[in-house]
Amino acid sequence: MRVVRLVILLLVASEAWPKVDDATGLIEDVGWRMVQAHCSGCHDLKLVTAQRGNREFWEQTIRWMQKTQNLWQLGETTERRILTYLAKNYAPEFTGRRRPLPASLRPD
Amino acid sequence: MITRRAVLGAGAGLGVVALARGATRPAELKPDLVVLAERPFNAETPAHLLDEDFTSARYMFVRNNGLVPNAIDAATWTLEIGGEACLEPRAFALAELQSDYSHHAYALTLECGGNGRSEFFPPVPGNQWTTGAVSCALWRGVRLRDLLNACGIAENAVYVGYYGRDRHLSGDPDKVVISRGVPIDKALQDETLVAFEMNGEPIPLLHGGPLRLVAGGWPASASGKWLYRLVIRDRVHDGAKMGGNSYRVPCEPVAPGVPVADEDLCIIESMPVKSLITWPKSGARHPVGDALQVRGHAWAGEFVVKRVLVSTDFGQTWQSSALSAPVNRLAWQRFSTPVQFQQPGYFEVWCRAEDKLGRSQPMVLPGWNPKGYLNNACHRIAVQVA
Repeated sequence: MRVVRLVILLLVASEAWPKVDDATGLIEDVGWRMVQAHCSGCHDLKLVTAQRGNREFWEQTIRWMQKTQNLWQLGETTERRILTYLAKNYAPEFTGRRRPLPASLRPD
Repeated sequence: MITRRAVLGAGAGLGVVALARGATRPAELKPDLVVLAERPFNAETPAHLLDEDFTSARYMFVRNNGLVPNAIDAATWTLEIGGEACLEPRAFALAELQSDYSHHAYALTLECGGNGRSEFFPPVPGNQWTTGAVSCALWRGVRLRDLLNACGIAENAVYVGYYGRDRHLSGDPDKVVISRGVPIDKALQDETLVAFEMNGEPIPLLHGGPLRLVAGGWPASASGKWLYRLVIRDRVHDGAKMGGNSYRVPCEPVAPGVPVADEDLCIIESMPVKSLITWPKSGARHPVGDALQVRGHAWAGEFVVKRVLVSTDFGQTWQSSALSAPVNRLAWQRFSTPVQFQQPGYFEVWCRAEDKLGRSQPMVLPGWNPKGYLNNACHRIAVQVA
């Protein structure tokens, strides 16, 4: 009985958890090969997978790399797909000691 | 449509308060509060609206496990006292309590056990209270002790449990919504009241009128509303929401997110030391160079607050504040201090109270527990200095 429960748990877990590519460490979701192609030329993909941010965060990161780090222009469609991939799979997670004050309690 | 004034007027004049279906909704009586749920009605108070010395009905948070009774008749209201450890069970008319027993008045701090729940991580279920489920009003009534003594307390008395007239969400009239209480020692304290007045008026229906228990300094769920029956128990009271994970925390601390078996949970008694900045309102703008007068309240459950410290640099340095003595035991205390900002920019003002036993408020979240009780992490407000 316990073995059956374990097998069911593993099956459910493998469905729920994102599949990660062994070589790059990237989550295998729509757009991951584009990220591999455009990002790994200059830096370790851990610089991607260790970060968490919303779409704006990732877009600013790309702009900074384009401005200062010689990242090439990605083209509108490719950039949109990369941002969608990053914002979805590497979205903010609460890992801090305590959240910032919510916007409603901050100065306008 | 029945207005708020009409409802209150009827209550004062006729001894009858109605909150019938189709009449004023509880949310309309609390226009300035943040409504967390309409059914059951739960609403909390923004910190800056708790700036009064004693909380008025308008700004008092509301916590319900069930539905507010439809209609209350103070003229015919009675309180029964019984239970295994009651020597002579009897009933008292409300009018008899008011005329035949000594009245006592105290300012008593009532804080929901789950105040601050919204900050726990991993998240925990329940109303996601932020900081506003706390109040300190002036309560008047008779001592619970005097009523228990009038009935006779058996030697083996352990706990006093309450029953109220709130209605179960399911509509089942036989289902008890909540029936908690306090150990006999707490029941016998001077300040534990069977109250019929709040801030000099009959207790509003929304706050448990015409009669409620008030056990200051403990989770407010110990202070039963719409009180009609008390039981002196020979064991820890086992009414609704006394067991399971209700108002109980791990007896031994657990890592965040770890499941805890019911038998490893212990009932919350005194609330922990805590403080709240009630002025200025978070998000305020302030001119650089001018002193900003910061003030608020501090409380410590059964205990007295010894000092309140304030920081404007994320806790790197702290300054002391002027702290008033409580007007009576279990009342919150006022603190206030001027703070200076040396440059323009975004600042946070933090406050941290310390009780007589040297216990203080944590900067991060205190012990995670399955229902998110007892978050006494320091309060923070934002100030933009320009």
